Amino acid sequence: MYCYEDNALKPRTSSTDDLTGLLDRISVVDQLKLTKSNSEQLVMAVEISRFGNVNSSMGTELGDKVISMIAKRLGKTFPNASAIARTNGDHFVLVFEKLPNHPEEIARLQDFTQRPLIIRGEVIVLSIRVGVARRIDIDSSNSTGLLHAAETALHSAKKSSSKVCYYTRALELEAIKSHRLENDLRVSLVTNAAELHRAISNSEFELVYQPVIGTWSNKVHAFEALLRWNHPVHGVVSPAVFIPLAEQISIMDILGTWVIRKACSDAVSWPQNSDGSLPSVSINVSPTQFIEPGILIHAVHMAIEETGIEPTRINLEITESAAFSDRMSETLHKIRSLGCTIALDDFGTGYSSLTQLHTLPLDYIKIDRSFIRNLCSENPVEDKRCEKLTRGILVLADTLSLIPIVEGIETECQLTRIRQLGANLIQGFIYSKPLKLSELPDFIKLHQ
Amino acid sequence: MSNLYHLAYISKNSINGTEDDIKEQVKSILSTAQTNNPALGVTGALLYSGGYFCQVIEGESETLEELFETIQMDSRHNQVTVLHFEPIEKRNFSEWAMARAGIEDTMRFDIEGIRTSKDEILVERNGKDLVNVLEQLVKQHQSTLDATKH
Repeated sequence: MYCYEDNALKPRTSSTDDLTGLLDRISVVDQLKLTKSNSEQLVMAVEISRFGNVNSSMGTELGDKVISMIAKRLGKTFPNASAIARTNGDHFVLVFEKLPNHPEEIARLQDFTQRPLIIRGEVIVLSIRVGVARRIDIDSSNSTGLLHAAETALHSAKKSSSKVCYYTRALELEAIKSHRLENDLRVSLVTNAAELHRAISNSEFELVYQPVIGTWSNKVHAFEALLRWNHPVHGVVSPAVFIPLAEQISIMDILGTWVIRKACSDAVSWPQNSDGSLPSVSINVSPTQFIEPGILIHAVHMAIEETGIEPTRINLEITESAAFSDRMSETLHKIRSLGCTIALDDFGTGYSSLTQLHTLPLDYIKIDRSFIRNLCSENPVEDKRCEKLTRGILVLADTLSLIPIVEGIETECQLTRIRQLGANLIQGFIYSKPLKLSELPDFIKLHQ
Repeated sequence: MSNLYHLAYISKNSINGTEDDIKEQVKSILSTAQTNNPALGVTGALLYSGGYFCQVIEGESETLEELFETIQMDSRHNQVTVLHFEPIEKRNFSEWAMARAGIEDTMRFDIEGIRTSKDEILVERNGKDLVNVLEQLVKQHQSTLDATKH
């Protein structure tokens, strides 16, 4: 079945995977090296999705049985494959010298691997992801490049939650760029961590503030502190990119502490509203900051002590998370006992449960922008649906004595409708985009 | 403790051809099962109903695991949905290596509805219903055969 480029090159004795009897990674790489390159060659990299769940719920013995049954199915389904390997844990690779009707073959692969498995009285249904690389799509004439390309495509499928992804050169460049950015950010975060720990201010990190307006009085109720990172090489990096990295490398506590202290220190410099009230400062707290709650509580204490800020002006925003735990509730109670308030951010998009709404010590809920987006939409059905949902959440908030803050208001029409529904506190571009610290006094004056 | 299980599943026919071709294939499936099952200690029933296979197999747990893998890999059907798989005290089809419950052109149940249902309790109930319906059909079929013989 194999064509060797040189007769002097004899194939090494293939080593096989003990569990499945398929080739292992080293052998499939060897075979690819020895295979004469042909323009129709195609490699599929296959991963069983969430296989860890099977292992952890049913034990590794049954997990191994599943793997060996899938291996047998692959062998039976694809006798036309020139090699089938188990490259790692729940990863398989199929090599074809020719597969003209590959979309149908991929559908067959999905069909046969996803049919139910019957094991020790249990029915298991798996799902798979596939990365596909075709010889004609890769620059390299090196056959192992094809394996790498298929695995790159598989990685991309996983990242984008797709079932199948085909390799393209653009996809590889994107993967390289994304890896480089992630690595650079990790290095920068780790390097900055020590500095952040020592210093209150760091020129790379900056807080900007988006106002929350009380529409009945037209005064500034609060400013939400939003973290920006001006990376020396990558420029402005979105928090959506760097916060998950900071969480992964466990420096969110340090970064979070810096944010609390900096935001409170900024807030004491803000002028009063015309009625003598002072805007509050809303500070986002990551769920990972509840892992070591002592650090969070200490940071709030320190900020109050250092800046002299009235604790009632500090509002901590927590996001909905699957990990709401007793520890989180206890921590929030302690922070609230200092006089601070607590808001549940992005309400309705995460893991809201009425029990959590009832048991967590909350003062505010922030209604996510996704509920508002289609309010005043040209599509009357969408518009009505948004209105009904928003009305429902406002009634729920009122029932639980929580103050609603509506996010993402962008148009006059949305503002009018939201006010008609009885909401007072509004945040959104209709009032202002996030502002620099230096712009806040003028903004407050404007709302006198 | 008995290690006896039964398994009910439905799957979609993927045999191409005329109705007669399909009937021939279903008969061939029945005949293969009737030949192989006694040695495996497997009993059961098969119904072909409006483009779907409905089958119940009974036997030792490990045997069913292996047999079901073979059935699964048969390219004459697809969209396999297991409705019911659980231990039983006694067989419903003890007299049949693979009883023919019927080969019908029209669909007997709302199979598509059963297959796509997200309601596990409903699927489970449908699995049990399928076993009962197959048992009744097999008995009907058998009594017709007996009456013809007499």
